[in-house]
Amino acid sequence: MKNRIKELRARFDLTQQDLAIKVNVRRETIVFLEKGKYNPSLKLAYDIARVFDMAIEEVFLFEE
Amino acid sequence: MKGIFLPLLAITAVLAVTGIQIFQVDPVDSAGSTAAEAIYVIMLAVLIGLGILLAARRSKELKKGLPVEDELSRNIMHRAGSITFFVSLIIWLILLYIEVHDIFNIKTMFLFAYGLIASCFVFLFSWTILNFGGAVHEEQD
Repeated sequence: MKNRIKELRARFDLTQQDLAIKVNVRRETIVFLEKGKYNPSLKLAYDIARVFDMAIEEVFLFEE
Repeated sequence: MKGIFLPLLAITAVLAVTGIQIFQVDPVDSAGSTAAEAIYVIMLAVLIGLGILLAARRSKELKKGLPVEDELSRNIMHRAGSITFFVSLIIWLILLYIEVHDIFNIKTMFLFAYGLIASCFVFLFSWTILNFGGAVHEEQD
């Protein structure tokens, strides 16, 4: 599963730490997510999408 | 106490107690034994140092408003625990075989100690690998 977190973070001018604080996770989790090394829970995916005011499928790109 | 700190405390305590038992029960004054004792003490010191470093880092993050643990850290902890359980089963099976067949002529108490030490290191190793190397990506079916 790919995601647009890094791109959206840059667009919203947020650091990894800012985003981590907003969704209440450690900064390392954001790093792992951006690298595609971790698939978030539905709740975390929802929280991240909400920070960017988008739908989950606009932030996380599911592949067949 | 959250995150890695409780397991780290338990591992340090187990290693310290087993180390004391090993070196107290069978004190050999050879150079090899002294070196082994020194290496063991250094490893314990490194472990305690790592704990202090992690605690300092976490406390700094806590001040910034970041949580000490989250779903990824819990995921890593569960996976490290699961790996340790299955590897430990194999280690204990090997130690049991050594004991039953009296292969290396090692006292039972030492076999117990070695088993405990090995389990601790398997956990530390798997936790480190998972924490820094990733390996937490679940493949989609």
